[in-house]
Amino acid sequence: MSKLTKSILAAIEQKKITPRAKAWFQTKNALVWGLAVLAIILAGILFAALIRELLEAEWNIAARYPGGSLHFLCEAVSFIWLGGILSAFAISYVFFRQTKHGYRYGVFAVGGVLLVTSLVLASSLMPTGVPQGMHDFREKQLGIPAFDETPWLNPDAGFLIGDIQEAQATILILDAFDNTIWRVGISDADIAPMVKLQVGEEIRALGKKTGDNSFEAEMIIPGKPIHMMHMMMFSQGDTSDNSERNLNSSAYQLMQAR
Amino acid sequence: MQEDALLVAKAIKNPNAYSEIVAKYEKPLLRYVLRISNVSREEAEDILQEVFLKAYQNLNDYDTSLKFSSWIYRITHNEVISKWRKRKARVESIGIDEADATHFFQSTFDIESEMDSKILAKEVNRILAKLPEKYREVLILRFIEDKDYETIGDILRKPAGSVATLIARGKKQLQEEIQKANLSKFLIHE
Repeated sequence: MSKLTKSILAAIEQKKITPRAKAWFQTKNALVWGLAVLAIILAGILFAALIRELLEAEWNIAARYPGGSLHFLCEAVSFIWLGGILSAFAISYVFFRQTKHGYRYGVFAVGGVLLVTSLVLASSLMPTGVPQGMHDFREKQLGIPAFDETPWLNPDAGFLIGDIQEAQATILILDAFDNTIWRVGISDADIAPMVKLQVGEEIRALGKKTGDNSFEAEMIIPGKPIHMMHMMMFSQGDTSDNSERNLNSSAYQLMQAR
Repeated sequence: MQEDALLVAKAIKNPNAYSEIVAKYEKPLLRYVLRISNVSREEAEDILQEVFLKAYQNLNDYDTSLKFSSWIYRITHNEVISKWRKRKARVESIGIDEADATHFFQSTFDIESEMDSKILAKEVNRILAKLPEKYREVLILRFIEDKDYETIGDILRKPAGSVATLIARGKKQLQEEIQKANLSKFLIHE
């Protein structure tokens, strides 16, 4: 027996060292796996919230959005959800790497599996109340308004919303929601087919402020957002006013509060 | 692998049986510690004692799908790294001997050296110590310890693909250092 072997055996005896129980390692491994899985579930929930908001964005106005489609996409993508997804991926990856064989897989392989798993989870959550719940959480608990509730009372940025007070061939007199009266030129505007240019009709205008209380519209769309999900519901035969009202009630509250 | 698993099972029940594991791995691990660090033989033995005590405490965590040697090399590697980090010392030289240095050059570049083996060993030590830790450790494991990519991956907890990349980059950097040191004139292709 070598000197080293003797000193090791002596140290084991002297310090009363014993092998740690198998259960200790099993618990540790289960905890690591559990945290990796929890993080991916969180990523799935956040993905569902992100997808819901992307589906609800008004893509029909993207091209005319001030700053263009890319700016619209940047506004429509919720960075709070995106940041959460990336953080959840990072946490899941770190814990996965700590599992017994997790180190054998490269970052792209693990990242791909995490992405697919969270997307599958997100798609299974879409029909549930989870995405709406996350939307409400963001709005009420975090106090961050979602993109579909971007205040349209911002003529300087090219947004205007209100009721038609008077409709002429090329000009609309609009009673904006902040009770200011606007003269809106519509001669070069694209008017969405569902818009009725008649007194009392609520509309939104995308365009440019051309002076005090005058605005040149490039696009006229209905006052209430027509979301992709909304359109899908209508295509399935749900034409009740309630669904529309529910979908936009928070937007209304926000605007009326102003 | 089976034999090691049996030894581990025996050692868990009876500490004296652990002496068989120590006896089997003592020499290769001592060489490995000396090769990757610049410690004296006494210090290397102290490190090794810590390694074997840690391994003993964690015997129930040994994954039988791995080679026992990979598992204990991993513990050794971590212990050496942790010692370096505690000292906050920069590696200025490592413990590659003359035979290691000759073997290293032959297996890395398929070349022989006309240089005196003592000088070659000194230069190899100096050049390897200059390399970043991530390259140095894979090059030593691959070309001195003669471990395959998968085993190196298991020791360093890295995917085999990353090991291959690190080896390729490490070799490239090593060649650059050899050029800088003006050593290439002493090397002849086999």
